[in-house]
Amino acid sequence: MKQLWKQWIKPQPLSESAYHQQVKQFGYAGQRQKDWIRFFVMLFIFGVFTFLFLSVFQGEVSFELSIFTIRIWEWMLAVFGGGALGVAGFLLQKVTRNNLADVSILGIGSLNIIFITIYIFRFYHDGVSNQELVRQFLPLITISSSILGTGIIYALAKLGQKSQDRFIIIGIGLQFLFEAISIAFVNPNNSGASSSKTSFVFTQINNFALGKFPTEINELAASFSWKLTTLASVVLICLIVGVVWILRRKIDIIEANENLAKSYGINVELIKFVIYFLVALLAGVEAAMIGTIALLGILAPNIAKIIFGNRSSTNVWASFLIGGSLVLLAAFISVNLVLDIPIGFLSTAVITPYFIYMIIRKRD
Amino acid sequence: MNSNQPEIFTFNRLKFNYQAPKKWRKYLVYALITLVGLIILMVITMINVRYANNGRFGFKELFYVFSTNNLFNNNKELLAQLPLDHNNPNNHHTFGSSGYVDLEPIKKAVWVSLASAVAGIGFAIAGSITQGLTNNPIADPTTFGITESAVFGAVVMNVLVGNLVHADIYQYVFLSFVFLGGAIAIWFILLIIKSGGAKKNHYLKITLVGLAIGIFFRTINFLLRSTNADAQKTALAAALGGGENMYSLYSSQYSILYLGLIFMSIALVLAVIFGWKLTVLELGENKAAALGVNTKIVKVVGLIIVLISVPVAVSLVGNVAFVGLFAPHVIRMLLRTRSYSIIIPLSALLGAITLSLGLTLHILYRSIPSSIYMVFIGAPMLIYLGWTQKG
Repeated sequence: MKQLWKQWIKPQPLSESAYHQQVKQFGYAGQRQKDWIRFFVMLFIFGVFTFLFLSVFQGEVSFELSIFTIRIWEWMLAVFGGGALGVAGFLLQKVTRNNLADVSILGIGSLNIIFITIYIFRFYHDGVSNQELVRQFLPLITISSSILGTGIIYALAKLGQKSQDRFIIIGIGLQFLFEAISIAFVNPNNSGASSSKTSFVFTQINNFALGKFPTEINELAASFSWKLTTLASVVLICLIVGVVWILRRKIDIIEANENLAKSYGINVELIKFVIYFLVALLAGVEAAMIGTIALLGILAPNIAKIIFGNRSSTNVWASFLIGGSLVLLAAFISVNLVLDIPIGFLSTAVITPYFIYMIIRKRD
Repeated sequence: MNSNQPEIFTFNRLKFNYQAPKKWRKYLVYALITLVGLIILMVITMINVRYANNGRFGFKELFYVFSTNNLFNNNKELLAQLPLDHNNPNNHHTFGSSGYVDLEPIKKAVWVSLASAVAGIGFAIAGSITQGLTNNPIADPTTFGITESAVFGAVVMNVLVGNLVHADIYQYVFLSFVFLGGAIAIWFILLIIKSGGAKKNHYLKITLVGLAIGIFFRTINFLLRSTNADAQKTALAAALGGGENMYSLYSSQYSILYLGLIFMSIALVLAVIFGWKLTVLELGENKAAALGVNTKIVKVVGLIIVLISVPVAVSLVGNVAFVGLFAPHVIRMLLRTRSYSIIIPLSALLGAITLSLGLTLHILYRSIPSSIYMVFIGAPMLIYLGWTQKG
């Protein structure tokens, strides 16, 4: 622990040898200090968003406890959902060596929606306790479905001789296919269920498909089991980010050159498998928290890359923070300024122009 | 497509070792295929009209209606003499003895079938031309976001002037706004082509930009739909797609159908005429210029054809995905040709057939709109194309 502090966290004074070391490592001196300053700025912005989100309610500042207790759960969903998407996009981009890979573009998100639809249709009966129960086990369903989706993509990437283009096109195709299947499922004429159940199920599925906070958040915030599930999801996300941080060096080396990594004694296939598994976990947990937020997973790691350069050690945290802040901003707007707009749509409207700019500006 | 490599040599053979023989046999085959396609299209359209409205009207009654009326004017005296098919249990005295003349369901069935066919032609033309112009195998009105931006135009029209426009000219204003909406995305393609086309920009990048444009417009459509009650009906119908949803948006549906037919025939003729220039353009701009093709004019005309065909198709059937993607590719694979003067008309025929077939499936299973079936065909096609793509 002490060594960790000395080696990584404590800002070191620049002795001559340290200066040379840093120049060797990063190209110019004072990189770590600059990183810290950037992180503090990002944390400050994040804190401002947090403060705004927690204190302002429908255009007015209020610190009532009754609102705050609900707000804190929404905050948790927004930050950790966005963060999970950011980290998942970061990992996918590293492991496929393609800076346009994302959970939403590769069809994993749509597969999750299909499974959520089937699950809620099958297991929801009228009644509050049942609703809590459904919510409680939802993460398991989404995790297994996204493991399935990631497995498909992993298998395709293996079979497809590691060509990135194929990977992306196949992902887009799967995305459209799953979307069509979910539209065919979600059609109200399709089911013979009772009207109250149908309407509930459709609000739920809409919430997940568009990326909204749960409509019955008031009841959920009072339910112990739901809180427990959410906290477990949050802890899981934190653990995954920790695992990624432990693997940061290996990820960087694998991205740079697989043969080099093999000669260093890294088990490349195992690490790749672990990364895909982590992506599946992150996507599944996130799907049960907010739902689909398109393109966020592309954006967050790319902004992080612009700010920090291409280093896993900083970019894991940076993409987590950027993803969380963007979703938080979108949630703030959707709660206060324009009522009842899904977060997913709002953040997509913010993200897409930047995404287009990002693609056009880059020259191969 | 690696399988089509020999066709390029065919082109060279034309120039340098000219061999006259057996060309007519090939064209005979194409003519036969066209004929068979037209017959299939007619049969599917007849089935669609016959079995729409829960199979309420038999062939006999429909034949009588069509022979005595045109769909503008109901000839009530002749309709009163309609020989009803009393064996049909679904037949509830809609014509004849009760004196009540109800042509509306038949009108709708005919409109939807014809609109699907016309829109299929439009999407297929636009798909093959964008594939030729941008040298991008997965180009399509969907992947370039043109359909979404055209839908955006329709929604904006409803938000801005939806209440002000008189019902008589509603469809014309609608169509012009859809044109404007489609022009946004097409302007964007123009930018991409200008900035170097397929050589400088990797085709995947162009596609991703197009998809991002599509998502952007979808988002804005959703925002407009949720904040503005006027736009809700249009946005829902157009975003879901399918002629059966679009029909109720217009007050006089047939004028827009005839307008669409005129525009589409212009686009089809232009596309067939310019087809061989597109074929040459695929070899590369320098080669095309050396062979005497003005590449600039080809590009401009191609984009104009896309600009005509996609908005017309969208105003008829809304957002239908991937017809422009799979129709040219299927034709290329089946006939092993890269000549656009053959691909364009045949893929137009195939697009019309598949959209009509989607409508037939929709008539069988009411809960799924006809546009969704196109995704079920198109998405596996996209995956296959991605799979066979050379890195």
